[in-house]
Amino acid sequence: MVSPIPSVSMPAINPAGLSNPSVAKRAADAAGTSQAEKGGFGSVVSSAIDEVSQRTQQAEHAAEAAAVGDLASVSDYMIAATEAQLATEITVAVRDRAVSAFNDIMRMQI
Amino acid sequence: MSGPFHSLSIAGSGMNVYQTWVNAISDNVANINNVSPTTEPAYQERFVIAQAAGTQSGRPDGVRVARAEFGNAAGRLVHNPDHPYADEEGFVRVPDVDLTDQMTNLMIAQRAYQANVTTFRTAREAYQRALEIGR
Repeated sequence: MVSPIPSVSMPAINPAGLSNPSVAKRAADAAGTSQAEKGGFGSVVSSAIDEVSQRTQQAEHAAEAAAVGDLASVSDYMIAATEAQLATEITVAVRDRAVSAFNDIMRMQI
Repeated sequence: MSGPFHSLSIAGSGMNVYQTWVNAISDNVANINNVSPTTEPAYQERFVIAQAAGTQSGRPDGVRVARAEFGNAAGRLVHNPDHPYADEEGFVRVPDVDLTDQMTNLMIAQRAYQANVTTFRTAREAYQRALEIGR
C-alpha cells in the first residue's frame, strides 16, 4: 500500500488527500488543473471551489429566469441546482478527508 | 459537454425532448377541430423528430430535437353546408388528426419523461452513495 501522505508539510499532501496516487491524479485532472502536482492540495481545492461557484451561478441564473418567466424548461433548472448541490457535497467531502488526514499526522507520536 | 455529472445532463436532454413532444401533441389536440375553406390548407399535424446528440463525437451526449415535420395539409373534406366556409358543394376542410393517436402518443411521452426522471434520480443517488464510501 502506498503511503497516504508523502511528507508532513501541507503542500506535499497528495492532491485528493487519499491513499491512491492515481485517484489523486484523476481528481487533479477532474479539477481541471495541471499544476496540481506543483501547487498541491490548495490549488486543487481552489479550482474545485471555482467549479462549484460556476455551477451555483448557473443554478442562480436559472432561478432568476424562473422568477421572471423566461425559464424554457423546468428540468434545466432542476439539473443546474442538482449539479451545484452535488459539486458542493463532493468538494466538502474531499476537504473533510484532507483535514482528517492532516489531523491524523498532527496527532502522530514523535 | 462532459464532466462528472454527465448522466444528469443526458437525462435532462431526454426530458427536454419529451417536453417538446408533449407541446407538439397539445398543439395537435388544440387545433383538432379547426375548420378551413377548401381553397386553403388544413392544420398540419406536428411531428417531433428526435435524434441522438452524440452521433458526430461518438460519445453519449443524450438526445436532441433535430427538427419538426408536418402532416398532410390536404386534411379531410367534410360535408357541412351550413358552415360559413363551405364551398358550392357544401364541403369544408378539417385537419387529418386522429385524437386516439394523439392520446396514445401523450401517454408514451409522459411515461418516457418519467423514465428520464428515474434515470436522473438514480444517477444523483449513485453520486451521493459514492460520497458515503469515505464516511
